[in-house]
Amino acid sequence: MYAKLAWRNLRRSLADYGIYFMTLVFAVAIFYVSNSVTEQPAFLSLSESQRRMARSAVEGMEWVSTIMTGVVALLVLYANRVIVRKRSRELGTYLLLGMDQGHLAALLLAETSAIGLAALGVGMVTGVLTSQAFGLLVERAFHVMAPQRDFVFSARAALATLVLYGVVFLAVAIWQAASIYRQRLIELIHEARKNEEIRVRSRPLAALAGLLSAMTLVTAYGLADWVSRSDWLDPTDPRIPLGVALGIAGTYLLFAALAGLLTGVRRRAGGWLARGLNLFLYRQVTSKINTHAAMLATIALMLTFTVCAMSTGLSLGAIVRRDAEERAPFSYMVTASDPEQDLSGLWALFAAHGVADAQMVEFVTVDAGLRGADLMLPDDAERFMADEEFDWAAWASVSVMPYSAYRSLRAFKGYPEVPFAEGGYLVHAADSDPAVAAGAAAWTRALIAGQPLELAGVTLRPAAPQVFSESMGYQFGGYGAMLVVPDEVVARLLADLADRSQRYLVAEVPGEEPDRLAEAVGNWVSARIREEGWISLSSRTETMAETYVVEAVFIFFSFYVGIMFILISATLLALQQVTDAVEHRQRYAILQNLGADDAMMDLTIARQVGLYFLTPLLVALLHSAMALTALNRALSGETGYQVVGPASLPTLGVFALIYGAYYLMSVQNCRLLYRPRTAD
Amino acid sequence: MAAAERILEVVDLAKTYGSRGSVTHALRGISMAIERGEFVGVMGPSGSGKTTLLNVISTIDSPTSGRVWVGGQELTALGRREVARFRRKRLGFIFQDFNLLDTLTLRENIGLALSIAGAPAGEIDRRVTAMAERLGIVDALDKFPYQVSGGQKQRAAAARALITGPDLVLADEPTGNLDSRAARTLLEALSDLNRDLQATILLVTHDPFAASYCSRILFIKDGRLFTELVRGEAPRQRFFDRIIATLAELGGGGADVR
Repeated sequence: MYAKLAWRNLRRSLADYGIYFMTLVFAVAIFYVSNSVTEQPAFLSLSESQRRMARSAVEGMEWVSTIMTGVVALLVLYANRVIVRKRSRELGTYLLLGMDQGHLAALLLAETSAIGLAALGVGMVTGVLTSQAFGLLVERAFHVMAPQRDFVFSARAALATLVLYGVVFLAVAIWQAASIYRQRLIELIHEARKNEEIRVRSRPLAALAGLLSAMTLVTAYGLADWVSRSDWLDPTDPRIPLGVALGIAGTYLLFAALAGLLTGVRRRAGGWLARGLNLFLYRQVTSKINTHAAMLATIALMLTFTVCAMSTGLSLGAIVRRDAEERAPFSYMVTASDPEQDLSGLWALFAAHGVADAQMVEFVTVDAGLRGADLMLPDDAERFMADEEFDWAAWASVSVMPYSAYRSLRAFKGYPEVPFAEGGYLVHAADSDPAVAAGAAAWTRALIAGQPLELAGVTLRPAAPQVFSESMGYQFGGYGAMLVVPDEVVARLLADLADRSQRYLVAEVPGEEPDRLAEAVGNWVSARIREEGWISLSSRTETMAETYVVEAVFIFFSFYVGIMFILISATLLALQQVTDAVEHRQRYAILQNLGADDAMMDLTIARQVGLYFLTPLLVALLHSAMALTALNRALSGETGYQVVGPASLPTLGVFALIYGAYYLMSVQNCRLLYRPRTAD
Repeated sequence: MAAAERILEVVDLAKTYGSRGSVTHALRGISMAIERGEFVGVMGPSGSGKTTLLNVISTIDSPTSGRVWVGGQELTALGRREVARFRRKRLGFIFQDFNLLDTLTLRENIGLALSIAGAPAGEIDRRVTAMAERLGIVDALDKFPYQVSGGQKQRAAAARALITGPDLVLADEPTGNLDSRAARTLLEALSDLNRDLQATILLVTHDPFAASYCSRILFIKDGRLFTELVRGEAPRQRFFDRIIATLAELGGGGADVR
C-alpha cells in the first residue's frame, strides 16, 4: 500500500515539478560530460605538451563542476523544502488517518530517493549521449582531429557522477525524512494555511531602502568606472571586491525596497490598471514580492554573473589566441642573449628535417640607446615628452635590425617587399597602444620631412615616407618602434654594443610540420641553457596548442557556470510559481466566474510568469552593462582588444534560448496548474 | 406591471452523472421560468439537485438533455469563448465563501468585474462607489478582504455581482458563512436591490430565513420540481411559517430550521 502511495505521489510530483526534474537531469548530464573530457578521443590525440597543459585545465574544470554540484545541492535542498511545505496538508492528513511518523518519513524518503534515482538515471543516459557530440566540440576547441570516433563511455566519469550526485540526492532525502519525522502534526496541518498576509509595510522604511540601494549601486557602478580608468588593472585592487560587495548589497536592497513600495499600495482603479485584468496582474505579482524579494535578488545576481561570464568567455579566449599569434609570429624562433651564440647546429638540424635554407634567417638586433623621440622632428619630440598621456611613445626604446633580416621576415609573413636604398632607414611599429599610434603620426612626419639620423658615425635618410605596421610579433616592432638599417650599420653598432644585442634564428615552415622537428629543436635549445645569459625557443605549434587549451577552458568555464546558473535561476522561478499554484488556481477560478475567457487568463498567466522572469533579468542586464563596459575599458587599455566583441552575440543567443525555453515551459506548466478546468 | 420579460427559462432539464455501471440522475426533467425583477429561491434537501441546477444555469456545467435560455440566449448553443462573454455580460455570482480576491481591496474586487467587461476606466470608480453606498460598505472599500468582516465581504461580493447590471444574479448559499445579523443585513440589501434596480436574483439556500426574503420559492426533490410557494402580499413571518411547513412536507430539509 505504501509503495503504491509513494508511486502515485511520485508521478504527480513529476508532473508538478517537471522543470525541477529536468534541471536535475541537465545537472547530472553536464557533470558527466565535463568529467569525461579526458577520455574523449580528441583529448587523447593531443600532443604531450598540450596534454600536460590540458590536464591542469581539466583539473580546473573538475573543480568548477564540483563547486557547481554544491550549488545544485543547495537547489535540491531548497526545492525539497518547498515541495514538502506545499504538501504539508497532505502529509498531515496521512498522520491524521493514523499513519505513524516513521512510515511517513520512510514514504518521503522513498519518494525523494526515487526522484533522485530517476534524475540520476536519465541524466547519465543524456550525459553519455551528449558526450558523443561534445567530442566534436573538443576537437574544434583543441584544433585536433580524433583518429576515429567510437562510442565514448567514461567509466571514471560515470562513477564520479553516480557517487557525487548519489550522495547529494541521498543526503537531501534523508535530511528531509528526518525533518518530517521530527515535525509535529499541528505544524503540518497549519503550514499550508500560512498564507502571506498582505502586510502593509512601512513605506518610509521601504523608501529609505530604495534610497540606500540607489546610493550603493551608484557607488558600485562608479567604483567600476573608476577602476577601469586606472592605467594598470591590478587584480588585487581593493576597490574591486568593494564594488562587487556594494553591488550585491545594493541588489538585495533594491528588491526589498521594490517589495515594500509596491505591496499594499491602495490604488484607486483608474488608467492602465483599470483595463481588463491589469489590476489583477499587478496584485498577483506584488502580493508575493515580499516573500520572493530575496530570491529574485539572488537570481538577478546569478544572471548578472552569467551574462558577464558568457559574453566575455568567447572574447577572452579570442584575445588569448591573438595574443599567442603575437608571441609566436613564426614557426620557430630561437633567441639568444649572447650575440656570439653559435646556432650552426640548428641549421643542420633544420636541414636534416628537410627545411630549406631559404626558409630560415639568422640575425642580430641591437639596442643602440635610441628612443622614440629620436625618430621625431624636434618640436614633435618636445611636445610628446611633455604630454602626460602619450609620453611613452617618446621614451620607449627603439631596437635596430638589419635590412636583410627585415626583408626575410616580411617575406616569411607574406607582406609586400619594401623599397630600400643604400644609406636609408625604415621605421616599423605594429604596437596598437594609443601612445604608439600617436607616435607613429609624429614619426611619419619626420620621415616625410626626410629627417636624417646619425648612427655609428653614418648619416641615414628615410628610405620610405611611411611607418610600416604589419604585425611581426612583439619582439619586432610589436612593442614601441623598431628601426631597420643597412646590415653594415648593425655590424658597426655590434662592435661597441655586444652586451645590448640579441641573436635570432627564425624559421618559417609552411604547411605540414616535419615529423619530430619540434622535439629535436626543443632538445637542442634546452641542452644549451646556461647559467649566464639565456636562450629560448618559441614555436607556433606549441604556443597555439597551449592557447587553444586556455581558450577552451575559458569558453568551457563560462558556458558551464553560465548555463547552470540560468537553469538554476529559471528553476527557482518555476518552483515558486508551482508553490503558489493553489492560491493562484482559486483566484483564476474567481476570474472565470466573473467572465474572463481563456485567452484573457492565458495572457495574464504569461504576463504574470513573464514579470517574474523579466524583473531579475532587467536588473542583471543593467548590472552587466555597467560591469562589461568597465571591464572592456580596463582590458582594452591593457591589451588593445575589445572584451565584449561580436563573439558575445551568439553566446547571448544561447542564453536567451535557454532562458526563453524555461520561461515558455513555466508558462505552459502554470496554465495547466492555474486555469480552472471547465466541464465542457 | 407591464408585460413581464422572461429572464430565465428552463425546459425539461436533465443531468446524468456516471457511466453504465452507476448512473446518478441529478436532474430528472425540471422546467421553470423567472421573469425580470423576480427574487426567486430554490430550496431542497441535500442531493436534491439544487447545485446541479445552479451549475447548469451558470454555464459551469452542461446538461445531458433539455434547454436553458437566459435573457433569450440559449446556453447549449454557446461556444467556449462565448460562454465567458455570456458570463461577464449576463450573469452575476454570489458564493457561500465570498470568492473575493485576497490580493485586491474591496474597491478593486468590485471594479474588477467592470474591468473585465471592458468598462471605460473613468467610469469604474464612480460606479463602484455608488454601488457600495447602496450596500453600506463605503468605509470598507479601501480595505483588503482579510481586514473586513464576513458580512462586509459578502456585501462586497454582492456589489461585484450586481455592478455590471446582469440579467440574472445567482446566489449560492450566500448566508451560509454569516452570522444571523450579517445574514439579515445582506438579505435586506439584496431585497432592496431587487426592488430598486429590478435586479433578478436566483437564490439557492437551505435556510428558510434566507428564503423568506424571496418573492417565490421553488422546492426541488430528487431532481424534480416538488412544489412552488409564492409570497404574494403575505408578511415575511407568515411566509417563513409556510416555508417551514413545506420543508416538513418535503422531508430532509426540515432539520436545518433554526
